[in-house]
Amino acid sequence: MGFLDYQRATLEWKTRGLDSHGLQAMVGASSVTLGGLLKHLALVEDSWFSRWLHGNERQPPWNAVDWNSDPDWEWRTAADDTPDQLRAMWHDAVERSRALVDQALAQRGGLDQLTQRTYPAGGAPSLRWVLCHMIEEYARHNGHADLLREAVDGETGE
Amino acid sequence: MSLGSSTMDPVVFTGAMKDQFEVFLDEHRAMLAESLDGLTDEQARQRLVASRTTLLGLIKHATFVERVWFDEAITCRSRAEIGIPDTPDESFVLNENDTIESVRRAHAETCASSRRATAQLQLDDLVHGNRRGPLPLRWVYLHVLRELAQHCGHADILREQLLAG
Repeated sequence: MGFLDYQRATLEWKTRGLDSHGLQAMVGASSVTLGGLLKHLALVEDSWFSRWLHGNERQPPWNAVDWNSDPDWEWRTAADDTPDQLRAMWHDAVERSRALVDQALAQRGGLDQLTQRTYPAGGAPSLRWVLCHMIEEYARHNGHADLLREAVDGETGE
Repeated sequence: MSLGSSTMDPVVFTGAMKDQFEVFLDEHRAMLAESLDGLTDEQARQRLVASRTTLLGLIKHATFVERVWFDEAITCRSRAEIGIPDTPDESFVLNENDTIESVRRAHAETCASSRRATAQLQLDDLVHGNRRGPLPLRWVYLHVLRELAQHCGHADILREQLLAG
């Protein structure tokens, strides 16, 4: 959990102090933006710690999206949200994830417990796998954030 | 290794934690090496961002990271003895004779020795050769996974720029 929180803190820092212009900046050919990263990771938090871990349905606003026809919805629509909205959305998702992990640990045992949702073909990842995956997912996106932030104002580091 | 080759393989979901870490690491090692697929040496050496990072330099750095954590930290040998630079910054620097082929070969060989180095260790075993002090192998795995994944993110953007350019 400490590793994951460090990754979350890095994303928060990489997106701090930027206006909507900075959050919408792109590098070269990529359509990835810092604002898009916040919205995407808010979705990813909901997906793994709520939908998978607890078997919940998607939370708003994710439940109203037609993902089949618009698979990149969160990236595409991030430009319509204000920086405050994007930060709040991500922040709330993280808070919710922390509570959901605590709840799972209190109710269903340790890190070896399996997620409540299973793949159609059967099989479910353990909470340990989910945490490992989330660290890796955040770290990769923080790699994107490094180069985006560097392009916006030259800031680098961790 | 008994587990599948992808972290999304159901066998990996519930596998032993150490095997799981190895699969996560291997997936990122492979993604980094594959980021050079289909590029010319000239493209791989191209500087695309303000910092020194090039795609080829990134793979050289990833090789350095393997040595720091799975050689220096475990064997307590010095960086000079291992034959790697003193600082991470220097590990990005390209020599005239570095090519995609030579850099990828060194990376693959180094990853193979990393696997051999961790094969006999348990997750709670301490390694003593890092400046941070004694660290359990599980911490090293998480740290290296985080680092490789972040560099995969760098590679994503650099490769995308090269292919679009």
